[in-house]
Amino acid sequence: MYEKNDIIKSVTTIIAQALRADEKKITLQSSLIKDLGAESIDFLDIVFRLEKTFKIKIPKGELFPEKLLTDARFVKDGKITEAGIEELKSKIPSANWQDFSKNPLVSNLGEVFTVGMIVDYLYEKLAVANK
Amino acid sequence: MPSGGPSRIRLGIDLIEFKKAKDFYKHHQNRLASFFSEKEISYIGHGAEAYRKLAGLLAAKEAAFKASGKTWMGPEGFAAIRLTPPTGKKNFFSVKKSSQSKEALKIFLTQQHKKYVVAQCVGI
Repeated sequence: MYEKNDIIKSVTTIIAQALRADEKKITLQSSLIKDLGAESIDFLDIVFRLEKTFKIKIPKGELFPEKLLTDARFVKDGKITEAGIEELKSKIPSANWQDFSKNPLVSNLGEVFTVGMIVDYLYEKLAVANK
Repeated sequence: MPSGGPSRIRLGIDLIEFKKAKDFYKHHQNRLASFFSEKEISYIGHGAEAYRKLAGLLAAKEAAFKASGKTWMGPEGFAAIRLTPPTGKKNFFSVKKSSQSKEALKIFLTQQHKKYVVAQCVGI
């Protein structure tokens, strides 16, 4: 059974290893792309390391809600709609949606992915698995 | 110029550090099947230079993804871009037109740099 602090510690270590970053500089609010410079290969690396460390399978589209972008209710003219933002809030509650909502461009969405988002996802997933 | 309107050329470029790809391959070579197609895995192979092929493939996918104009939302997005690796005299990756990809893309690699592979994608 994982306590949240254990998850935070493990995720921080994984991200530090994958991104060759200083663990002390990684916070729950750290944006993977904007603050830590993550690239596509890094996201793959992180997902694989998470699966290995926590002995879970992360199905495609579950950690990063990609399918939302193909839903016409949630995306219009290159921007996330209000309904889309509400949907994202429900899936990634720890993200800074207040700032994003000021200019909800689809192209800015990747910058919302934070360390806290991963922690919250794992905490919920592991809690369900341990029931 | 094709009839019916102006042609549109999309461009995408990406680079991957070989060292990063080497570390990735070392840790995850047994998991590649969960992310890459059989053709792509066959291209990467298992030899001492497999990480260089992996770097090229990843850079090519990312360049193709950028050329497609889609927004990056996680690894699944560009995993869905299935590349046909170079074979024989053909020196580029390609993505065929399909129901999911409305454009035919060609992706060329530059591997002369010691530390990086660079992929350039042209989509028409």
